[in-house]
Amino acid sequence: MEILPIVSIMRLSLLTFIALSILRIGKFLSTSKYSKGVRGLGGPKQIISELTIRGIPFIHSRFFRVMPAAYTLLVMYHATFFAILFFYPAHVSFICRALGLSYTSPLQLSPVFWDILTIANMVCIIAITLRGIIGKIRKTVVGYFKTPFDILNYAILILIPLTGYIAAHNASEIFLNIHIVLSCIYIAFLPYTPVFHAILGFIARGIKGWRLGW
Amino acid sequence: MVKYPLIPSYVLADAETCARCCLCTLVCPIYEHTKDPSKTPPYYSKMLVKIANTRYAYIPRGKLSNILKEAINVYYCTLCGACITMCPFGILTPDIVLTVRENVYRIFRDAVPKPIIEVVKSLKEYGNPYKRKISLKSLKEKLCHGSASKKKSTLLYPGCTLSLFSWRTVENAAKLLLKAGISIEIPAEVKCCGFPALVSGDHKLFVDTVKENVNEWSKYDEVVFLCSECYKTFLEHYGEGESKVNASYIVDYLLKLIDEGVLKPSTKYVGEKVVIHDPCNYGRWLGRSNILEELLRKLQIPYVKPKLHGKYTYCCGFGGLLAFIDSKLALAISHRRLESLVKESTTIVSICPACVLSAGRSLKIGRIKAKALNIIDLAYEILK
Repeated sequence: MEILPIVSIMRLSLLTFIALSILRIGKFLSTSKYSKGVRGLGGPKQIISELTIRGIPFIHSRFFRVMPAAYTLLVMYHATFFAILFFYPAHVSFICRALGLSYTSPLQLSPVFWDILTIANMVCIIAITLRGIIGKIRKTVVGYFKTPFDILNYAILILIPLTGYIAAHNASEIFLNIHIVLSCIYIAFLPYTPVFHAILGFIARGIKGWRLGW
Repeated sequence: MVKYPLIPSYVLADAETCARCCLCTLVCPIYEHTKDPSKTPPYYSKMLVKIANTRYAYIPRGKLSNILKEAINVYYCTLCGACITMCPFGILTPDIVLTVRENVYRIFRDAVPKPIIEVVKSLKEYGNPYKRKISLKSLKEKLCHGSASKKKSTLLYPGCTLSLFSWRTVENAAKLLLKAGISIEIPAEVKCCGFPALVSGDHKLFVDTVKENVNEWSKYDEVVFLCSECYKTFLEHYGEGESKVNASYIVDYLLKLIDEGVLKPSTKYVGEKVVIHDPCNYGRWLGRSNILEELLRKLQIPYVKPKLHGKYTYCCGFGGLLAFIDSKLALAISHRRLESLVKESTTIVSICPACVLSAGRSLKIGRIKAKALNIIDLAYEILK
């Protein structure tokens, strides 16, 4: 028996996520008056220009050459994060339950594989956080751990995979519930967390193309 | 009256995308020399987000002036765009910098550095940032007098840097086009393309300049740009005006004339192999570094590429009006670039007048035995 109405909590967090996303993205659109000006190319040229200058996210040969350790760390974190979030069978079935769909994960792999991915994900996020704390520029520019929000953000980002890992190896449902509640809180407020850059990156390109004409 | 910040939506979206990973600082020439974290792309993104938030009363409006005082650091960006090549999301930091500068200029003009104010003043008074009138009247009389009765179909637009510091290059380009039988017109008084106005933050002046230029240029069948920065500004920032003018760049034009057999090499290049310096405007922004190589191949000039070229080229230090604000820093950046170029060859060739000028100055000050040439001059020697 479930201690918490987890499906309802998840649905609520998804609705909050959508509402806050609209609020955050709407902010960009409200600045539209000025964006027409004489700037920009407009038309298909814009897309070509965007591709020439910006490239495809994360795929720059220079990236790896200049900083191989950071590149590996970042790619590994993102790859493990998305793989676990969208392909771990328990996640897939839970998300589908929340959305009222019937679907199973295409990746029915050994639990050891998912364990390795989770541990790698945790190691990466800890390393990324340490890089932020130690690095001179990042400390000054970003101001890591200057506000309670920063500590909360990174604590949750580390606690989510940690509680998930323990829940997968423990019969008790406490860790599972903590894992789900933390995830729901994070998903709900995601538009106002640094993780939203994953979505904003594509929105920025989309808005530019739309404003200047596709 | 309260002046609200004006920020294009896509620029704000870009600024908010920045995850502050700071990988861009690894290739930023300004950070490499100053080691000042407040002169880095993530700092500019953070600054723009702060400015934008004042629209929504997250930050009391009274604090806006404090924020804009800090934003003074954005004048230390050369707008070279090296950061874009390292950013996992390809955030266009130069757009962010231009937007911050524009808002600083609009809302808190007292914080704008004095050299920038003087540049704007010069643009309004003389039509260029160099505080003097640039006239090509004698060159126009010398080269265009015979064709006075003919229909002027092609305007040769040299841009202010080339006209002032290297008018001989303008003459060479004009002679080449005359040799090809093209009826050309040279402006008696050279007016700015608008880029310095855009970079200094005076958006109104930029819009007015664009309108004036488009009105003037649309009278001609075609406009040939001699400056790669002017051509890039035309392509990237003239918006609708771009469709009203039939424009091309001199290197493309020469390549076309060589392909058609109108211009043929008359002498063979004698000398050492040259090293190419791709300017950020053509090599990175327009992604067309190949045209310089193509022209060199057609002119049968042996060339060598430096380690950083094309999309990954290194700044000459002249961009973003940095040379007006901190000439020592601009010179240091230029030196850094020259060090790598001179290792390959003592003859440096570029298509950007500003890069050639910057390199020339650095070579002179650093007493380095090498020369910086504009590709037009080299082409003239072989095609004349």
